[in-house]
Amino acid sequence: MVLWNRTPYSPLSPSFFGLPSQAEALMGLLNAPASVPTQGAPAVNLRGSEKQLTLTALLPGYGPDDVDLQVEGNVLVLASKDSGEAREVEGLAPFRRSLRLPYRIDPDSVEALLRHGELTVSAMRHTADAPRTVQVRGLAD
Amino acid sequence: MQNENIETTKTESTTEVTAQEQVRPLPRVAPRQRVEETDTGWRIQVELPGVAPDDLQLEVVQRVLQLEASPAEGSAQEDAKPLHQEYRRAAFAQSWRLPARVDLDSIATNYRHGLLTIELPYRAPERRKIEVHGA
Repeated sequence: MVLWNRTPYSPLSPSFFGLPSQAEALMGLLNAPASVPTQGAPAVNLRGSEKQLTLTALLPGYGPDDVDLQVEGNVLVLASKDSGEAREVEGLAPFRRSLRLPYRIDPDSVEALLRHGELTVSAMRHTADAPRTVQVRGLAD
Repeated sequence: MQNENIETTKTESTTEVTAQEQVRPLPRVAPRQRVEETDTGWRIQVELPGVAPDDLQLEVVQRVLQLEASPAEGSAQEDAKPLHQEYRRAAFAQSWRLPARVDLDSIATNYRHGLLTIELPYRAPERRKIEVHGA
């Protein structure tokens, strides 16, 4: 007999199962606040400012070698590795989640730390995307 | 009749509130878990993301297995503006009433990457020869 409780971690995520991940990726994380992770996909939080973002994800059972993180423009893809040790752990299903960030990030600035099953990813905004002040000029009278 | 299954019960908060907790109380939630019966006993897997091994307490009181765990302090970025939130930092609490067949002295645990596995083996069946005395 196997019983899995699917108690969400907070009332903020009333359901863990909802949209398929593709639709979720298309709509984008921030454009669709109602989007929820698909079954087995990790819950994420995102914090940040105009210059910097910090994403945290719950990945209990996964070690640093079990997780694959890819950055492309403003999309971050978090997935389980096929070769990971976590595959041996019963009850852990493979996952893949695309997260659309509010702006492009500098791939060289991305740092990721997985500690006790919680992943923290920090990244700086890509300088090409940073807001700039534009000098407003007038015509001389 | 003795219940043969593991009964999951809710843990009421009995810990004293310290000054620190009054400032920033963490909500207490039941962790996500998987309870299964194996050939030799029961196995419970509990997800405790963010919890350091030292911040995890497990004890058995009157055949009730009690778990309490708190996540490690978050990074300084906790202060940054939240842009999207799917989970909230929370302390975890859960109790399970153990069947009589479980051998309390043989409970084994393994904690790795925020996933706690508790093995609850059955006692070996007790066998005792009874001498029959005749007249």
